[in-house]
Amino acid sequence: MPIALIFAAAFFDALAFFCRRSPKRGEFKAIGYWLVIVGALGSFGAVFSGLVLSKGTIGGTGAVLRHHYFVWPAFTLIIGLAMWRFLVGRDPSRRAFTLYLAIMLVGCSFMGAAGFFGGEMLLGR
Amino acid sequence: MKNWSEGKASLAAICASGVALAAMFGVASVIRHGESSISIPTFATSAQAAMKPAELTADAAQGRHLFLMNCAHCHGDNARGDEGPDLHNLHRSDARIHEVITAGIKGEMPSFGKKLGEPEVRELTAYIRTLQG
Repeated sequence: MPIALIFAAAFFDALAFFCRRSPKRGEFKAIGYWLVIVGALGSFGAVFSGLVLSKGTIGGTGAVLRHHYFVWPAFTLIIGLAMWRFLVGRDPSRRAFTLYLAIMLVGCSFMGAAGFFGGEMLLGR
Repeated sequence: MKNWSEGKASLAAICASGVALAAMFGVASVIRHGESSISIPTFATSAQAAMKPAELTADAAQGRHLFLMNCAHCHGDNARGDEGPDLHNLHRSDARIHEVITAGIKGEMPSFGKKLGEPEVRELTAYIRTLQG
C-alpha cells in the first residue's frame, strides 16, 4: 500500500511541477502533500510486518537480502521526504521542490526495486 | 504550516529518517530476541519432518536452534529445501559440511565463518547430521 501511495504522491507532485499554469495546480500539490505523509506513515506498518515475517532479519540472504538492499534506503528517503514536506508545507520554493522531486524519484526507484524483489521473494521460487 | 525554513526542515528530515531507521532496527532486534526465546517450540510444531528437540543430543539441539536462526530462511524450517537445497541425507563428510558453512559457496550461499564460531559450526554440523529420511 505505501508503494502505491508514494508513487501517486510523486505523480501528483510532478503534475503540479509541470502544469504551472493549471488552475488545479494547488490541488495537485495538496494531493501530493497528503499522499506522501500517509504513505510514509503506512511504510512503518509495511516495514514492521516485513520484519515480523522475516523474524527480525535486517539483511538476510538471497532474495531477502536483495529486497533489503532497496527497502532500507527507500524507507529512509521516504520518511525524510515526508517529514520535510510536512514541515515546509504544501508550497515550497521552486528550487526546493525540484530537489524534492528529484529525491522522490530516487526514493520511488528504490521502492519499486524493493517491491520487485519482495514479489520475487514470495512468488518467484 | 510554513513555520520552518527549508534548510531547518531539511535538517529535521535527515534526523527523522535516521531516528525512524534506528527505531525499525530496534524493532527488528526485539523481534529477533523474541524469536530466539520461542523459536524452538514454534518451529517444532510446523516442522514435523525434523527431529523433535527432545530426541537430539545437546550439540544437535543447539545446532537446530542455530539452524532456525541462520539457515531456515533459505533451506526451510524443516531443512527440506526452499531457496537453498534439501539438507536431508547429505553424502558429505563433516569436514566438508563444516567448510561449506564457514566459507560458503560463491554466488550461491553466504559464508558464516565470521558470524558463527567454531563450536557453533560444530553444533550446526551435528544437527545437519541428524537430518535423515
